[in-house]
Formats: sequence, C-alpha cells, structure tokens
Amino acid sequence: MFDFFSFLRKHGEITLLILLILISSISIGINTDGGLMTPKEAGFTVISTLQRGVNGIGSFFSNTVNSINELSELRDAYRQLQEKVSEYQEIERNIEELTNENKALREQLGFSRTSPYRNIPAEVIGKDPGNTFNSIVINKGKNEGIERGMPVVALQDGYHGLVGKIAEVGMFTSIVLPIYDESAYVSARLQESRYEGLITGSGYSDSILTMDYIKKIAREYIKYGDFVITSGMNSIFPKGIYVGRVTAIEGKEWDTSLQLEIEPIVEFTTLEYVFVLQRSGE
Amino acid sequence: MRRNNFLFGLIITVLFVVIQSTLLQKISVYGVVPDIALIMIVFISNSCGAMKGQMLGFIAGLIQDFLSAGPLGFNALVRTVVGFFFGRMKGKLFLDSILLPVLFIIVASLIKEAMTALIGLIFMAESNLIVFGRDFLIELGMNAFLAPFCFALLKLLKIYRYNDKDGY
Repeated sequence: MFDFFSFLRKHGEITLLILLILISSISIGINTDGGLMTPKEAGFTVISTLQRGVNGIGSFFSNTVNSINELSELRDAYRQLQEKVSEYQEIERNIEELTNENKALREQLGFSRTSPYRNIPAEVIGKDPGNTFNSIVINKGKNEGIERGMPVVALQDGYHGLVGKIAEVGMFTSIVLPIYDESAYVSARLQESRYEGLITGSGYSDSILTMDYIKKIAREYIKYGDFVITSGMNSIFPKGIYVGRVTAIEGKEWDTSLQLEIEPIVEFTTLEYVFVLQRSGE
Repeated sequence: MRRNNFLFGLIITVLFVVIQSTLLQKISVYGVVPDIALIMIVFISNSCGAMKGQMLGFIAGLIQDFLSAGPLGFNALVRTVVGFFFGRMKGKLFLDSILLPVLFIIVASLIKEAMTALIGLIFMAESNLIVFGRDFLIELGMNAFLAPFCFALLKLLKIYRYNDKDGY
C-alpha cells in the first residue's frame, strides 16, 4: 500500500519543488497582465478555437448557400448590364449611322445650293431586278418635274460625277440609265489637254469605262490620273461634269486614235443620293 | 390548281421581283442578284402545268419589265417560254429535294440566257447585250444554290401538289 508520509520522506524535496513551482506559476498568472495570457484567456482560447471551428463549418455552409444566391443575383445583374451594353452599342451604331448620313446629306445640301445647275435631289431606291439590263431607280418622278433624258449626277469625294440620264419616268419614280451601261455614250474631253473623245460603258457596274476616238497626237499630253469631264457637245449632258480618271492608255500602231480606260468618279455600288439636273431654261 | 393558288403564286412571284430590285441588291455579288422569281415560276409551272405556268411567267415578266430598263415585253417573253417549258414537264419527272431543283434552275437559266441572246439578236441588234458572260455565271451559281431551299419552302406551304389534275 502506498505510504504517503514515507514517500514524502523519501522524495520530499522534489515534491515540494514541483508544488511550489506550480503554486508560484498560478500566482504569477493571476497577478500579472503582461503575460502571454491569463488562465481564463487560455481556457477561452482553447474553447473558442473549438467554437470558431464549429462556427467556421457553419459559416462555410451558410456562405456557400449565400454565394450561390449571390452568383444567381450577379448573373441576373450581368445579364441586365449586358442588355444595357447592347442597347448602348445599338445607340452608338445609330449615332454613327446618323452622323454619316448627316455628313452625306450636308454634302448633298451644299452641292444642291452651290451647283450652277438647277437640280432635283433624289434617293436611290432600287436597281434593275434582272442582270441583263442596267438601271437605277430613284424616288422622284414626273410629279417633281423630272423628264426623260435629264442628266443625273452624284457628289462623291467632293466631285460632282456623272451617273447617267433619265431613261423612264413614272409619276413618283424614275429609271436612270447609268453610264456604265453598254448602250450609254458620253461625249467627253480630258480636263488638262482638252482632247475630246467618246465614252462607252462595259455593262458592268464595277468595271472601267472606255474612251475612244482621241487623236493620236494627244498621247504625249495625257497622263495617268487625268480627269475626264463632259464636253457638252452632245447637249444631253452639261459641260464640265466629272466622268472619271484615266487609268490606262492604249494606242495601236495601225490605229489612228487612242483608247483610254477611265475609272468612273462615281462608285456605283454604294450610290445612295443623286441629283437630276434640269436643262437650262427649265 | 385552284384559282386562288394561282393568285397566291402570282403575288409571291411579284413580291420576289420587287425584292430582287431592292433588298437583294444589298447582298449582290459584283452587282449580280439571284433570280428568285425565276425559281418561283419554274416551281409553280412544274406543279400546275403549261397553261398556268406560261400565264404566270408572262405576268411576272411584264411586271419585271415595268421596273427594268429593258424594253417592255422582254422579260414577259423570256419567262412565258420558261413557264411553258417547265409546265410541259409536269408529272414527267419525280422531283427530289436537291438534284432536280438544281437541274431545273440550271436549265431555266440557260433557256433565259439563250432567249435573251435571241431577242437581242432579233429586236436589239445595236444594243450589244452581254450574254453568257461573267454575270450569267454568277447568277447561275446563285440560282442553283438557292433552288433547293426555295423548292423546299414552297413544298412546305403545301399549296401546290404535284398530282394536280387540273393542269394542262
């Protein structure tokens, strides 16, 4: 049987030492604030860590659920914002379109006011439904004073270029025969050298025109990029309207005249607005 | 084919002519547009017979002439012949989904171009009409590509039946 007093007697010094150390430590802990932590704090630390762990697990689940909800809300908000961005992009596109249209119309208006010819502005509303014939339909007709044979011009890059002439007139619309049609002929001259010739179309809206019957002696006076204008000789087209620029010069040895390739001033594939010129006195 | 079906076909064909001259111009290739009105004429003629086919071709062609720079009657003549030809073909061939529509439209386009050349030669000798050129090839390709879709769409409407007995 364990004999406490014999144990004390045998290990009394060590036992007392441990006891004193223990008491001293507790006492120090109770009476000081500068220590690492009080026993309460130590206990609190241990328990609260556990508490925190439990709470953390709870929070994890609760946050996950909340995150899912938030994600759903964010997705809705994102969708709404995307729709708004699309709306703004649409508005921006419209503004750009309106700005371009405004610019084009200002140019047209400027031409309409400053042109030496009396003119009727019109908009291109269609083209020939087939591919055999070339025609452009405009939204002005007999009601606006348009007559068959009237010249049609368009403003592009600051130049008033020749489009063609009125071929058919309806009450509210007209058909324009463009200069690129193979049956179209334009009496023209080179703006610089003043040599005359006859322009014919190729039948294709995207291809060049041909200018024939230019005297061969004109070869040294003609340069690439020279402007070709209407000569006014034919009386259908007024004098001085731009037709195109010289892109190639051909002169066969046995031929008495030159043949020029002319790039039209007017870009027919993007043509939107035109002016029908009234003959003098009308 | 009942009369209202003919009227429906005519309205659609005229609508196609107008679309060709306006909306399709925006997606043209080198200024060339597909001839969807021709596809319509071929389909209706082949399902309704020569009489109604050529009538439809004539009226649709006449309306196209009003919008065109060509002489009045030019398209009416071309399309009358096309309508008649494909009307006569009624019931003679089984119309599948792809091959025959493509073949029909190629033949129709060739007839149209040959007729254009002939009319140009007889009536418009000085006009230098360009036939069987670049534009024709582009149009032929576009027509052949669109034919199966147009035929399928028209078949879906179930207005025209291939066993109609009232054709001529």
